[in-house]
Amino acid sequence: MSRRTTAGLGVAALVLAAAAGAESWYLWGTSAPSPTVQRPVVVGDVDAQAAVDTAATDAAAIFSTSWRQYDAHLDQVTSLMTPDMATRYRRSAVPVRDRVVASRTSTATRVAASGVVQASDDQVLALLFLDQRTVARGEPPAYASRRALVTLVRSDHGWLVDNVQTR
Amino acid sequence: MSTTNRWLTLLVVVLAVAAAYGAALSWQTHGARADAATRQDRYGQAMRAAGTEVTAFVNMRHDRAQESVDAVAAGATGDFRAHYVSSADQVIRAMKRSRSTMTGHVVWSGVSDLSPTQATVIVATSGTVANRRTGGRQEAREFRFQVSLLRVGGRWLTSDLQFVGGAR
Repeated sequence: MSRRTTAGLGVAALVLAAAAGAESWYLWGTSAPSPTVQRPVVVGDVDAQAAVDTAATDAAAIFSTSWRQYDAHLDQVTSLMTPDMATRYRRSAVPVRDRVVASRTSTATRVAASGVVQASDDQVLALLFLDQRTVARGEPPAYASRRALVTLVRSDHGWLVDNVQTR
Repeated sequence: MSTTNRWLTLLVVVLAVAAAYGAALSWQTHGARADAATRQDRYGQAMRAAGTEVTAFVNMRHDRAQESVDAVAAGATGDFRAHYVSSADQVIRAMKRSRSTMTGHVVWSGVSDLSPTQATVIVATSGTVANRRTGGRQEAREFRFQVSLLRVGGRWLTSDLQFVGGAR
């Protein structure tokens, strides 16, 4: 009788341990989903929108430049970027500094529309429609409508701009 | 009851409580994941529907004008569709008169707003246009669109399509 009870309890313990193990795997063992064509956004709506808002604010700041504060602007906007992006941005911005200052060029950028292209826990791609107004000494204002794909990556300090493609 | 059985009984009780708690958590998580999957599918569906409609809109040929117009109307609904269909003859005449051919493809699209029944998607396209005014030569055209979508009978259909800031 006692031996049969022991065996029964042992089997029950094994079955329950297996069930608890399977539940643990289901709850914590599976990795976070990655974006696909069918499911490009695998984070919550609020998280995705917050990242897109950051992309819009940062892009407007990055693409709004003034000859009066060119260096200060460069320092300010590179703090919004990953180190790699900041290096690339400085490399492209420094050579045109003299021309911008000499022609007294200023560009104001506003975001006309924004949307999430792809989003995961650690990376978000945001599509932005940018309207730009550029004024330079002795020239009438020039207007441009641009499309920008901004890549943000999550860091310890929040979302940082890791890449910007414009077309 | 032997000492071994007492310990085994205690173990079974502890495991039973853990398994029951795990089952409740799993059930709750399963529901949340199913809801998330439905919401995530919605993003892809809305973007594909907007992409299809915009692709139809930027691919118009004067020699297949009716076909071009029908492709746009097939993905449209409501007042937008009614207005588009009612002005189709005018559009076709204008296309034929100017021997207009427009080609294009979606470069990027992104969801601006999304609910179970409505969505707003912005779409960037690149392409060309050729007509009498360009002397038949293809000129580059890049457009920015905002597409409003409604969920109708299990499909996402376009209820409005607007240029954002025009072409450059």
